[in-house]
Amino acid sequence: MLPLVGPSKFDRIDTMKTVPYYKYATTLFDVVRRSMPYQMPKTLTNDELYALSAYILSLNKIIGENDVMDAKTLPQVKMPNRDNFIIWAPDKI
Amino acid sequence: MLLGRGIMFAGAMGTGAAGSLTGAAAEPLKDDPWSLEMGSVVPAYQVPSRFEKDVVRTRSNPNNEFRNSHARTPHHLLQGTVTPNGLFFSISHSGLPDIDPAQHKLVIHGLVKQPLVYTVESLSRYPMVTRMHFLECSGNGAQMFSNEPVQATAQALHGLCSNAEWTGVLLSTLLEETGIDPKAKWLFGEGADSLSLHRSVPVKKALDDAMIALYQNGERIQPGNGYPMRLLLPGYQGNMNIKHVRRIKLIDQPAMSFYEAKTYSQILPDGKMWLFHFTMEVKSFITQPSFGHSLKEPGYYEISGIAYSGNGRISKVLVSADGGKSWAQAALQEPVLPKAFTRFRMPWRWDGQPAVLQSRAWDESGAVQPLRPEFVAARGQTSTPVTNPLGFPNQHYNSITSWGVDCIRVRRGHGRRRNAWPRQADQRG
Repeated sequence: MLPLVGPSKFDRIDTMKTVPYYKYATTLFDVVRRSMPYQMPKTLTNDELYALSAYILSLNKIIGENDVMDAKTLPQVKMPNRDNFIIWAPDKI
Repeated sequence: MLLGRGIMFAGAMGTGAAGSLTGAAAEPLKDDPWSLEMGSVVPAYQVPSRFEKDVVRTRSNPNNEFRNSHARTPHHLLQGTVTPNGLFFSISHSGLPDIDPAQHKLVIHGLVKQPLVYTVESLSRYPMVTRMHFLECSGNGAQMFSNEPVQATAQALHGLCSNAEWTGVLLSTLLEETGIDPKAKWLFGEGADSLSLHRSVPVKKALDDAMIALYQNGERIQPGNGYPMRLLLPGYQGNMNIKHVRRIKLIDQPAMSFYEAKTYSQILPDGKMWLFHFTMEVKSFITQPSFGHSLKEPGYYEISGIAYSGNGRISKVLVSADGGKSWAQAALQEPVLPKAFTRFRMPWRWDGQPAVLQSRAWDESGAVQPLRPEFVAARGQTSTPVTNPLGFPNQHYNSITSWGVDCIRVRRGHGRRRNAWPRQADQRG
């Protein structure tokens, strides 16, 4: 799979989209919950999912090493790239 | 020299009454070995002749490594508009699930009045529709974001799109049965594969022309295309057409799932990113002649290719043989169907000199396939040449494909022979 840790600047059209690209931290939790680990999907407990999300977010220095992630705190994480998205065609929605 | 539409064949050739297109004189027939013995028995499920063994999909992961895999349609070896099921492109992010159709269930729930469960068997009792539609990976052709031309076949560049006749039940029929809570603005589709591949789709699209497809070109959908049922969203990014669909949950806002928030979102040159770029926009490319073909001699050839648009029907295709300096209108093969492949054709007399073949399409919404300079101005290009012909430097490439036909070459070992190989021409414009 692709690297999970990377810079939070996306200034080239072919920049690798690592975790800091995501608009919301919940995207990370959701994809790990549904799809990961790749070889054994859907095997982690909710506690493990939050712990793993926290670990990956802290590796990217988006949260502190001792910050606790749970159903309340994870959605409140402000991702570095959050304000850079444009909806392509609002009339399609 | 492009010969325009509806021109008489003999006139196009200019060879006179005794001439033919290829110059081969009629010879008396002889009895070949296969004419002198009984043939093989007809098989239960027929496959192409052994002489067609090279007409196959190319695979990105032939050694079954632990990652995704793609198989691309050999457009340069096909004709017409229907992609045979065995050659229909396929992308799998985690391998093909081996689904027992008797146990597969589709649940529609969330913001509905009455959640319901459907099976292959129960869906077979609902009113069905049959429609011709293309599917295209939104990364199809993305190598062409390269700042230098990529030397690759139409299969490598454009093989992640295909066209089939789909039969199934309109999603609107099922949603009529479950009822929709007015708060529902999106639906969340999820597949039965190991990744539970998932996307958010506007309810607006679901009520327009979305289908739960069960059949592909008359037979059950192929495993690589979503067996036993898939969500079909005509004209929208391939990835949104959830394969092996098992869940449709109606929700009030998009889930911001991995595939919409990351993989199928595009970085723009100004540092902004597009979300929810659903429509596969108007596009065309020439398949004959194209990279890998050789032209034996100057003379008559038919330029032919594929055009399609996620907005609706193709309205016009122009073809150029001089790199876009002059254009002529190609004939469109009827029927021209919305959100489906349209075959275009143009007679061409090659004078043996270098030529650059291009096509450009328009659709009924008025959208036009962008020329390379305007596309690059809006969407950017890479800063270094793309060296991996299977890479995805960005998404949603729909600009022009140029095939350069080289001048006459000398081929070793055969004396002086006239041969030309279409290659991808410089596109920097």
